[in-house]
Amino acid sequence: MPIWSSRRPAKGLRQSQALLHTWSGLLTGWVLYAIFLNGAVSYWREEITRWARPEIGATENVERVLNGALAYLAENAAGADSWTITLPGPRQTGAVVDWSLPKDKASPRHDGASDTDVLIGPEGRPVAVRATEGGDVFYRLHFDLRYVPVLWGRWIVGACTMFMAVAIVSGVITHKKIFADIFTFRPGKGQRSWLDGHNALAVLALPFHAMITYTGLVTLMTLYVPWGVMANYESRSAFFSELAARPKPAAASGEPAPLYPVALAVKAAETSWSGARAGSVRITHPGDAASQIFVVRHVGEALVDGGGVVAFDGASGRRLSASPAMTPAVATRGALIGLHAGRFAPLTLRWLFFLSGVAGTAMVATGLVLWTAKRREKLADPARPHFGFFVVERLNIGFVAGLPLAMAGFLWANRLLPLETVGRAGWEVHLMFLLWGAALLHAFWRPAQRGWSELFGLTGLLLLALPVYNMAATKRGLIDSAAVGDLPLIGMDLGLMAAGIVFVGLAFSVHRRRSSSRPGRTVRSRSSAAAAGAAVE
Amino acid sequence: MGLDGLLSVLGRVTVAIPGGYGLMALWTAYLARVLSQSRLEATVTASLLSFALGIGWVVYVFAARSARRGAVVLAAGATLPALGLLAMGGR
Repeated sequence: MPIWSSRRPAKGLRQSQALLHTWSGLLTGWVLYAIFLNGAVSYWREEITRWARPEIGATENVERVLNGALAYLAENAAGADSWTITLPGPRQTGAVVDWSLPKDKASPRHDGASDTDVLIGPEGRPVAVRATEGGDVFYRLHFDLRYVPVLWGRWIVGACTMFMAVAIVSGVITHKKIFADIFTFRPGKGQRSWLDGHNALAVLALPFHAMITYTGLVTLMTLYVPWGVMANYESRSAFFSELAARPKPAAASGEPAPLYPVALAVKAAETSWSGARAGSVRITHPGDAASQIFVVRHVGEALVDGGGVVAFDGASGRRLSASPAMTPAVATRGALIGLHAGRFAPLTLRWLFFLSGVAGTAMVATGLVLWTAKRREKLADPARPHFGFFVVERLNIGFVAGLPLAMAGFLWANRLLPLETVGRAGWEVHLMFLLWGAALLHAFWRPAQRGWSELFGLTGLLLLALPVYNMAATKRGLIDSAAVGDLPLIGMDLGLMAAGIVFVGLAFSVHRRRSSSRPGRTVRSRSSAAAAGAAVE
Repeated sequence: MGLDGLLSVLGRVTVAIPGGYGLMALWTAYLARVLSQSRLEATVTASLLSFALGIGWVVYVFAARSARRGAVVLAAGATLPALGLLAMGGR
């Protein structure tokens, strides 16, 4: 009985969930692929940013950088309303200083806010690095998208995430032998193999997939489900200030007073956190008697997102207040956000998250390919498929193979774009999207199997060539980084090589399958696929 | 899939997606008001739970015997929070 007739037969639960799963997956699959791939890569966001700035190396002495930052600010932003300094750490080097000027002191160009951030290098002096967004590109892409207003991006991603969550639940319901099938993989059997692969990737990291999807929704909770806030608060900002429970900074008194040594305040805060590292410092009204120093704990030092602020008097250094303990629901929300971002994760756990994210990316990709694999058998003429099949197959190639190519292209643009290029940081990203556009055109133009292997192969070569270029053209090549023990950069170059090998391997396996498929095989695989199809239904 | 089937699918999608979002809205606002914790706690709790409601709702609607059945359950599920919010003078 056709499933979509107006009454569902009683035995149709698994069937109804199978169809729900297929459609929720197909409609959002390409966007979800982009989200998963960029999200997984974002576990290495700071390392990518470090890699994207080969001009500077790791920071050895945090205090030297902090004092250098303060000296720079004292010289260049003396009358500011506030100074902000993000501190260096094992995964980020140098300090970014920012300041906001009061309206009357602001020069016409600044207009009350600071210029572009200034980077203080490991030596404590400002450094000129190439203009680049670094790892932030992939990070922001996975929830803001790009070239659309941020709110639209977040709504599209949120909707796709809800579809993903539905796909997870319906996928589990529809899966008959979920435990036995964890260990089932039958290669070389056409659509049966794609199904096995899709299932294995989904089930092996199922807790991660469920967690990352739900927590992703929670991170933008007040955008997606604002009605709780609307029911209880006059405004969203009222809700957020109660949530953050941050003390209000005092207004300027007008009396000058020298600033307390900030490094001592940072040490005192870190001691109160049992040694957890500070991530940033904000100083209000520096040089005024009413100035205050807010030391913020680094986000990677705790699972729960939020809190971790200690306030000191800016003139005397007296400790004023610390973040209050969180109430249960607030702490739960913070923990869920912390789980999603994974900033708390030490290296081994971060690798586990990353590999799970890669599994999730491959799960989405195999799901998309499975859709075409299942329907290829039913095509009247495989050489001239109907329009829907054609579009899905080509979009699969353009996204699954084209997006990694574009991301590799971004890394090359970071290396090759001339440093004086106007809007350089933006152009690194434009080039990435232009390359993606070219890959999509390639995907629609070339025969399908050639398209796969050519795009995968090119991606692999680009990735493999990057560490070679680094060694030849920068001071941060693999040998140099190994000599100084610069772990993030060693990891990046090795990781790029490994990724390159994976993509070249994918290109070869597609190429081998193409040259080995002959007309005789089609008949056999069609009947075995029909049998497999019946077993799945 | 004939016209009958297409209308059934459209019915389920309507009950599931905009219907589900409406259910999430009503229950989040209602629970945020009604839960006995502080207003901050109640707001956050209700918001955190709302996603589970929305996801479960979509799964149910496509498992339901018919789109019409789903619509009936939607109306039933919306009644309590809607009346509760009206009674409390909520938005």
